[in-house]
Amino acid sequence: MTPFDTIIDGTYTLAETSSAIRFKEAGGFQLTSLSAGMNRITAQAADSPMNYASFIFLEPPGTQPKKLELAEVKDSDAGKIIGDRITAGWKLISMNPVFVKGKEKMVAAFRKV
Amino acid sequence: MFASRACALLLLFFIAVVQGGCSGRKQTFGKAVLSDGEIERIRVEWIDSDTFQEEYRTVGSEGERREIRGTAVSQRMRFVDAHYALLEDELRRTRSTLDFTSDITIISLNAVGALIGPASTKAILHAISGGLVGARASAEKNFFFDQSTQVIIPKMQALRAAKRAQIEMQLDLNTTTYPLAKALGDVDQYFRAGSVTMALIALTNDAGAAVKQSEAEVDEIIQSRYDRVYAASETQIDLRSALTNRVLLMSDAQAWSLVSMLELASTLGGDPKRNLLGGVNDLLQGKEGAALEAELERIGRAFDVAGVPSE
Repeated sequence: MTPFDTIIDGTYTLAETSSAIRFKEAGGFQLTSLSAGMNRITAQAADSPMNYASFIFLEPPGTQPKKLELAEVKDSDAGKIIGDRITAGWKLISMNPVFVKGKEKMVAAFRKV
Repeated sequence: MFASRACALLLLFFIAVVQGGCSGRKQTFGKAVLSDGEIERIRVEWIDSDTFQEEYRTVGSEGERREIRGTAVSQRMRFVDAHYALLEDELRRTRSTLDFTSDITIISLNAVGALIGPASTKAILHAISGGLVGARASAEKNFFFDQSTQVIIPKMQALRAAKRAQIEMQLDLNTTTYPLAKALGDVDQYFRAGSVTMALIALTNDAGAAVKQSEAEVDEIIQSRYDRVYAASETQIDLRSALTNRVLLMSDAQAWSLVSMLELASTLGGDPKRNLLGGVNDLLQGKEGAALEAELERIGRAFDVAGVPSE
């Protein structure tokens, strides 16, 4: 399945980014990756940062993905955050730098198994 | 005092460029040919002297004031033109003897070069910057130095032509609207327009404009290539989710009916439900807030009309 690339405003909070993705997923699409837009020149990215979210269309049509959660992770707590989620029945589907309120943060996306 | 300041400014540059090599000979400046004597006369009568300004203040008629203003401007512009012609001549002919440093280190060339612009301009500006720091001996630097004159001279000419046209146009105005002091200030700017510094600043601005243009183009490409997903409220997410669930419950005939009713043109493929969901996605694109909610409700009503069961 060819993924659909979409853009999400990089000035959003993590909650707003999450709601944008959940709205898209409510249409029968499923997030496969989320990352900061990197194909623009750095100076411009600082002015109007954007994130790229890739989705696939779920079959059969009308199927919706399971619950999604985004979490900001830092080097110091990445192991614990990911470990705790996996233990609690979540799957890590993406972990990339993402613009959150215009600043690049490491963000993990988890899907309920 | 304006006159002495202007004179100092003009002579500083003049001396820096000529570097003592013009004494006692007639200067040939391309189109402009001025003898040392003529240059000196203009300097004494129209740059150092305040006499014409005193006269301007005391004469009674507008016609006389216009004449003094016109002559002062024209004489100073001749002086500036002479200087410029020498500068351009030196730039073209004997680059190795020309000391750029005093002129272009006024602005930070490294900062200029750091701007992202057309590759050639950026490379040239960097090369000039490097040339100021190191020797100009290497073939690469000489190459870029040659290129730089090809870029800078036309820019200086363009800036001068624009300023000259502006001055000449304003000389038609009366002296209340365009007084002598303003006219002489414009001649000062005309002088600066013919400097390497101003040319580099203008080139930098051009590069900046080019960057903005290319950024806008990149934006346009991104916007056309990718969907934009907006933050949504829980209500909006729930409304969409309910619609999607109803797709699971509908027949293919109902899906085709809705594709037609909502005038959808999806690219998701031949399956009617895929087409419907793709088309609905397109309908919701770019909508936020109340408009988004209204569109979700409109689609829901269409589902009702098509007889699609609810959850």
